[in-house]
Amino acid sequence: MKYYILEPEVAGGLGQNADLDRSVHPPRVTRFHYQFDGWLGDPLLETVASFIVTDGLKEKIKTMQASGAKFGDVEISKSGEFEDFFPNRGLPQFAWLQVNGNAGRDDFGLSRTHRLVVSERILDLLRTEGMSHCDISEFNND
Amino acid sequence: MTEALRRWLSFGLLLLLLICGTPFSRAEIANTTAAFGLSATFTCDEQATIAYDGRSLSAFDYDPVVVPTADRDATSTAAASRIIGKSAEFLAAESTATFGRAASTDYRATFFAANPELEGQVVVHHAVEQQTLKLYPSQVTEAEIHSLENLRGIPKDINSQVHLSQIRKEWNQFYLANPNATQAQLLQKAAEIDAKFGSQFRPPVGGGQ
Repeated sequence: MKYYILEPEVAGGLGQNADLDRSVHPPRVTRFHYQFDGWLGDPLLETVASFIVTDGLKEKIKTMQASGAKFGDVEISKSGEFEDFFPNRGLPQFAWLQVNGNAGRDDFGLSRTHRLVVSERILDLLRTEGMSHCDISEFNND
Repeated sequence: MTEALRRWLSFGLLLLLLICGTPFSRAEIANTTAAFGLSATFTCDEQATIAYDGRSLSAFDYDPVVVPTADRDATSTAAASRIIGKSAEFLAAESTATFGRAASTDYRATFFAANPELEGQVVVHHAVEQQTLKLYPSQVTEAEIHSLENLRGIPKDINSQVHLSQIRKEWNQFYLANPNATQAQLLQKAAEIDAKFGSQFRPPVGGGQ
């Protein structure tokens, strides 16, 4: 099976309620607060090797029994920048996609450079779900 | 390796040294850099460290560089930037990325107090992102992040959203590559982004395209 390195849309960053363990790199998020500064609409988003997905996408990933990831809670908020751009825009529910698989073997993994690596079947799902602002390249597990 | 191949390699190396290997004299480097408002210091092995004499550059330390032969007759900012290994756009933008000290965390009030004519037309954006407070807490303070010098006005249109998305990706790449970034490196990254997009900001900064 082919695997792909993804560089998802970055719609915002760590909010003030996020807690990090900065003794490792990239920092290990122990409490995830994702603050939106904008959003082009992708269902998979990143900040600093931490990922969130829409609840709709989460359910489809679970249905596929994908390996290498579990889900957790994430606090979502909008920054002043977001409110200024989209005064009345709501956001769907999101879940924290916690990647713990091996890149090139599981459906989800992280490369040595902390990039998200997914299997071809996951990439197909992401495309079906409307992911269109993600940079994609083939993963070579050498 | 054959003797003939060894001879050809030796000849090639000699030729390369003749073409590229002659170092500049200290006077030549000093004269060239002075023409651009740059100053140079020298190590004992004749490598030059060149600092740009701009208002914000005390925070930047350049690695020693050997001035390339191509810059012997440098007469432009582009050539000066090659000397110190930075792009011309970066040199032009460098002084745009600085911190001040904000008296308030109400950054929008800070920005529009300085740019009242832009109120309602732009969204206020942080050049060095707010999340650096989480990622590099020893390098930045709230007063610096929300200071006027770190704020940019972004026109309210869809192109801005696309550009801001690109900017956030660039910052994300920076965070992954720089676990121990200094304040100078954060400002340097902001200056690079200003150089790319700053002409679209209001007011414009950094001479971006």
